Amino acid sequence: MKDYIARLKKVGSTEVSPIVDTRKNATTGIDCNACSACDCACSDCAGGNCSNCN
Amino acid sequence: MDKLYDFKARPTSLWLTVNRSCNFRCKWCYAECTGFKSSDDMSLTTAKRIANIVYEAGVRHITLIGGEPTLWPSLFEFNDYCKALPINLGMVTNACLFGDDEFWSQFLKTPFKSLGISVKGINEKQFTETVGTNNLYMETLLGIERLLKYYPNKGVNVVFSNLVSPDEVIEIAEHSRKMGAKSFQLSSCSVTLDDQEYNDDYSLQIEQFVDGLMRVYPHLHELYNGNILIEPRLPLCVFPVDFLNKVKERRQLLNVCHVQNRSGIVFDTDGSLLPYNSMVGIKIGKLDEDFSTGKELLDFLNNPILVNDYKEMLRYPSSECIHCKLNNICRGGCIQNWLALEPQICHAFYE
Repeated sequence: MKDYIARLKKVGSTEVSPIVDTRKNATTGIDCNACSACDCACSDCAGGNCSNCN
Repeated sequence: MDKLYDFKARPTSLWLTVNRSCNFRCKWCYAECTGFKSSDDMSLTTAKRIANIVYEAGVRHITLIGGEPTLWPSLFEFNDYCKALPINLGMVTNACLFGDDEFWSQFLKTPFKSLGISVKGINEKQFTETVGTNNLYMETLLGIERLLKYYPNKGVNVVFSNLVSPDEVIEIAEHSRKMGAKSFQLSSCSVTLDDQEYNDDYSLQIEQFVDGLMRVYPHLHELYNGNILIEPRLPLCVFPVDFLNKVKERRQLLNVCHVQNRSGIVFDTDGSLLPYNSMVGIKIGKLDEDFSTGKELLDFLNNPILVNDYKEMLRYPSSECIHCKLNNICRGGCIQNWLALEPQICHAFYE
């Protein structure tokens, strides 16, 4: 993993703010990808709290 | 200054790679380097053990990924197992096998709680261009149609690569809508990692992606009554500010992921932990070697060495970002893209 990290061209600060919970960003009722479609598994509807999961 | 992120893992969701075999050969597939071998299938015993461990660690949602999870022989048995725990089980699928009558009737007996449909193309030309064969085209269309009818609120996901033109994105959106899709998610094509080399052969250049998105967005918004999700996976500062304000206000923007706050865990088929699923081959830990209970998993994920690795990986892309008003919803997009992107493209939004 260290080799991989070394190849990333990121140079900014490691003091980062927490991300905003994107479940609150997604349009209500959208098929948000935590519970569904996402080829890269990027999702923040983790925990299945969206309308499709429940 | 607001409170800073401590880079600790607080997992609530698991992405379980149950196989690498796939009936498609999408040109932009991040897992191409695995060779799609059926010998890499996860055993049901391993899958159950992982489910138990993550349940103990607080996870209540598992998404099966692959490969193509519908080809995993233990699919339905594992679904029953998760229901009993109880854990919500979903999967990301290309929908092809759902066009098979025998598989479809089996699915109806053991349906999944949730399911994501990744559409590669609606007409035969698009499908063949991305998937590499047209043999499964009709079966896949039938599978998509069946799923969209079965899940009344279901939408589709499309990757906007350089194999699909803006007009074709609109065509896919229109056709999917006619088949019953209620929402539409458009994601950019991230770079992939092949044997230590990154590959951006199928990613649109940033300017092309921005131009294409500006072109398709009004159509998608109208067609789906606003139920769309744009996943740029890029630094947001490359987009026009009025566009960003619009999609933010309409809650149609998703640019950060579970890796950015360590809320998700990804397992490979052999029980190895991956930082995220497109980092195939980069293993950060392994079942039975580094943990065998939920508590041990949490302790392992939060050991100081790993936390420090995440701190480095999740740093802002540029020195500009610390001043940016959007840094908590941007974070530069997909981490993997930063194998190729240069920090100089970033500039802070102050308003």
